[in-house]
Amino acid sequence: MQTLSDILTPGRTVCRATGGSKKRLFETIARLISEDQQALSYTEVFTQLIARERLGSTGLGKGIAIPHCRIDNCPRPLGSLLTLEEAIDFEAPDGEPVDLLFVLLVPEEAQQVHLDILSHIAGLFRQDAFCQSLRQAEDAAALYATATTWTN
Amino acid sequence: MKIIILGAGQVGGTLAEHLANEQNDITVVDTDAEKLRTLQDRLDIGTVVGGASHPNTLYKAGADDADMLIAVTNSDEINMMACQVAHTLYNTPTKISRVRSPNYLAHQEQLFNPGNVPVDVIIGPEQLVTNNIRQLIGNPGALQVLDFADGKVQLVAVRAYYGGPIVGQELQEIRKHMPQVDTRVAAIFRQDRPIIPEGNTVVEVDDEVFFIAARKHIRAVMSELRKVDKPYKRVMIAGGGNIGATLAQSIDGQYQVKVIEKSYSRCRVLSERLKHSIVLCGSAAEPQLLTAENIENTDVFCALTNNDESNIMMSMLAKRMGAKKVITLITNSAYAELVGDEIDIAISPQQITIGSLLTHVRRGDISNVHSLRRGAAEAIELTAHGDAYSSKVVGRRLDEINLPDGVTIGAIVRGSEVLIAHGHVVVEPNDHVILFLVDRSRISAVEKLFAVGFGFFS
Repeated sequence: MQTLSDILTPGRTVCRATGGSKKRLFETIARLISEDQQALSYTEVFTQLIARERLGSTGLGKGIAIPHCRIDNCPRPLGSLLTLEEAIDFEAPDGEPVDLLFVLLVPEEAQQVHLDILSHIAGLFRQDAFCQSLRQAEDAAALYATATTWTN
Repeated sequence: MKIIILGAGQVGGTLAEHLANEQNDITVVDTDAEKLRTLQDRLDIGTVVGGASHPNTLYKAGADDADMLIAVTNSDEINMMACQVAHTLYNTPTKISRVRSPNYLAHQEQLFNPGNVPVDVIIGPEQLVTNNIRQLIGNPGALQVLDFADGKVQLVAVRAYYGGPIVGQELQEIRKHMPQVDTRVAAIFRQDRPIIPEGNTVVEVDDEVFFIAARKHIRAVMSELRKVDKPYKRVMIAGGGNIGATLAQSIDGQYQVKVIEKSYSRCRVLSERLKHSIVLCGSAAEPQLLTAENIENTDVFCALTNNDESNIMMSMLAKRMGAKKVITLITNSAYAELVGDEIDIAISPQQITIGSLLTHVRRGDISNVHSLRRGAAEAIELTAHGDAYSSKVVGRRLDEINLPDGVTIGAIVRGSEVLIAHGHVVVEPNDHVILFLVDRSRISAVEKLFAVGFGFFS
């Protein structure tokens, strides 16, 4: 994967989403993705994200989380980018509430390429400057543009 | 996690107490404002007064944001309805309900699924209590017998007595005495204080020893700690209610069982259900009846009526009249702490229920939680996920794992194989790891240790 535009679309980018809890956030994400991708069911995306979180938080620290899981019928790796109006508790390792998320769904078959994508994303989101410019985006279009045109 | 607990009774209250200290956001719902106030005085929790299954009550309790709903009111119907409302209106991810009536439980699989009554986990306390007592009857001399990995491994508590070959010696001697038997002593409680055992720990008389072993080795290990009682034959059950009847039914034919029940009509029902057991109409508080029914030759007397005071008094009577062992159902935890040597084993339904509930509340992939020593200690079975990169446990030797203080690993179950924990055993993905925590406050550290790291999918 070269840039986030390989897996992210403007339709799956949301700026300053509302919803005050982890559960409601996952509902928002599941709705967003299932409406965008007819092959994926709302319930499955919601359940799988919650189940993955149960085994350990996908919070990275510094207010960032990268929820990820495998999904049946998922045609290819799909990303979704959200900034939140208000940070929410995410049981992150550093205890900080989260306000910036990148969701990654991948097909059921275990593949090294998925791990590579995940570590590429994590690498991007570990750069403070990148996260700062994402947080400053005023609308979804700006957010998408910032995310997909960023160069290290 | 945001958790809503419906019902501030014994189980609801104790559960709130367990969870409030573990970085959870707890809201308790009850119709009794007074009960909620008492609970809130002690604990950092939210409370809502109202009917537990009413949509507006659930909304006020934060159902929109809750990760989990635990319905433990006194009514099966309210519990089930609350799960339905939470499912339909609030999309609550995990719904746990206590269901007592065997009538519902008989159709558990058909009834309880997302398309019908949407309950993810059903907790049936009577069934749990019955299994617990049956294990104790099957393992004479044990204070507690707890199953892990479908019974492949058991954790057993016994009191060390004079005459046990290992008593007065170092633990590592067990291996010399029984080279073919593998076991691990997980903890020793000496005058109620925990000791983390090492190879050179000396077992003393009266120590309460918790050991883990494959089921087939339990008897051999027990014989090291005390003179092992002969297998029980004659069982007397006082009280033919739900628990008494289920227990009698589950051991019917394997033991010589006598059930004493007051109500004549209930006796008729029981005698139809039980093929081999003898059903007696009367009260176990009557010395004449006990004498007539050979109490002095009874191996175990189980007092299982729905009245704590009766259970305690009957047990004391039976013990004094010659019953070898008494097992007593006590719901009031204050009473359970009071009872002395006359009662061999006090069974607390709440404690057993709590363990079963915690199995589903804890973070991680957990298959069993047993709450021990009135909730102070805990034994858990969890599945290790991930690989050497994403897990702090998988791919490591047991002696390389950085366990929190007061936590020991007792055994690992890999498929059908039981591996007793020794330093050189390496944890593999999907191993079931059985841990003992002498202090349950360590649970968060254990959850963190077993949590998968970032690079794990699902």
